[in-house]
Amino acid sequence: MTADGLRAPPKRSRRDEIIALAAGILREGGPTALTSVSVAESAGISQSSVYRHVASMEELAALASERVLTDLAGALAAAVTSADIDGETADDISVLASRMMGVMKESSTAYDVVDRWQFVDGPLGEAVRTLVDEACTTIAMLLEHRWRRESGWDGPLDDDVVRLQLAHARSFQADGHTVARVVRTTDDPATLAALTTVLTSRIIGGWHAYVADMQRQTGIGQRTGAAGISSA
Amino acid sequence: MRTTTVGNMPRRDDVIAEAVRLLCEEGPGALTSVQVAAGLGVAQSAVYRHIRDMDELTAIASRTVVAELNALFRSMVLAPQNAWSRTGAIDRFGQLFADTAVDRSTTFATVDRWRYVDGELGDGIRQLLAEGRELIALVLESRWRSGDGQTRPLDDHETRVQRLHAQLIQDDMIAVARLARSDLHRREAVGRLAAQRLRAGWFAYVRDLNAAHGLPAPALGWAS
Repeated sequence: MTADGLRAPPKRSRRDEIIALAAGILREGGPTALTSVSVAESAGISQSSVYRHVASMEELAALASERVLTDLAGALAAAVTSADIDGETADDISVLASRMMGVMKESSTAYDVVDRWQFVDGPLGEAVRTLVDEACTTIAMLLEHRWRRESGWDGPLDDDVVRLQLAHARSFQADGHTVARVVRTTDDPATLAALTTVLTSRIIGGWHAYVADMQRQTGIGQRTGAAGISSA
Repeated sequence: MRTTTVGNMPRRDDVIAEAVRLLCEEGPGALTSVQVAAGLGVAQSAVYRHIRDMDELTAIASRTVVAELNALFRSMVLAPQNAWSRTGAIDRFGQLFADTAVDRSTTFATVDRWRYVDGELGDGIRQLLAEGRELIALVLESRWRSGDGQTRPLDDHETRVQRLHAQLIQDDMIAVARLARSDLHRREAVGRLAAQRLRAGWFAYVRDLNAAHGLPAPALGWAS
């Protein structure tokens, strides 16, 4: 009770705790494991008490998804930007591909969240779409960063080019989701080996498609290396 | 479109036809028992005389629209004028794909919406997508063979590689279709992108199959 007799709003920290627990459940068991029962159980409270902290399971799922997907984005960014590979040769790309697949295997439930909830209506779908869009923007940034390094272009890009770049990033992202789906549904070494090969070639092909489009759209050519990964 | 009703009681076919119409014209969000009943001019309960529940109706209707799209793609992909050996064929096909993605945007939305749900709804869509992948794999293989004159059958690894490429190309095109649904991108821009992504997919596929056959990596044919 507060001094003026009103009930204090639920403590922020308890709500955070519930969200963290929900994120843990999502990470462990994927979308189907996240229910008010499982949250109540792991928090050691009654099912109805869960709703003192969040308005609905949908809200909780959205908040938990945000944490899980943010972690995934961080892990992927770390794998992609590791300093020991610069992506100049096909071997580099192959290492990159298998590292990404490692992250995908580790975070398989996060991809389940995307597949399951990305296109549902309402706040949950919106939250997931926002995070997927953010990840796409990151991919676009990485592409641009590399393209600028290779082309030497330091000027601004107009809206059409930025949109085109984002579209290419979406295709890279779609490839990632497809690969992640295969990775999490199989342990067959032959399939995983084939997948590493395929992802490597898709990254190389995708990169060249992007560079060619950037060149057509801006008239800015490559100064260095992009050919390196195709000839290797 | 008002369908035939007998004594104001719709037949099962009418219910399904109305569900298909809603899905085609308005998309997955519009497929509710309320909308179906309103479209047929009957009470909501009349809808359930012929179907178990909305899941069943949604499964049937979505299978119908996705199967139609499959058939359309089959004719597009196998049309002689779209053979890749022809100059500009990939560009034309990319534009054709973008136009189809716009015209059939509700079907692509249907795929996105229910592809990963459990039960017969998701199963039906997944099965049709698998059929689409078979077609893509077939086309990839026959074009690769005609290009390099390869007659040796594919081994297990190559078959796996081919199947994965087909899957990646399909999902890539579904992502492109999503762009076509957003109003940020013009049809021509989406068409160019579709063509460019098909080139990328073709390059990646040939690169892998050639490597498996000890053939040189393909040239990058990026010029439009």
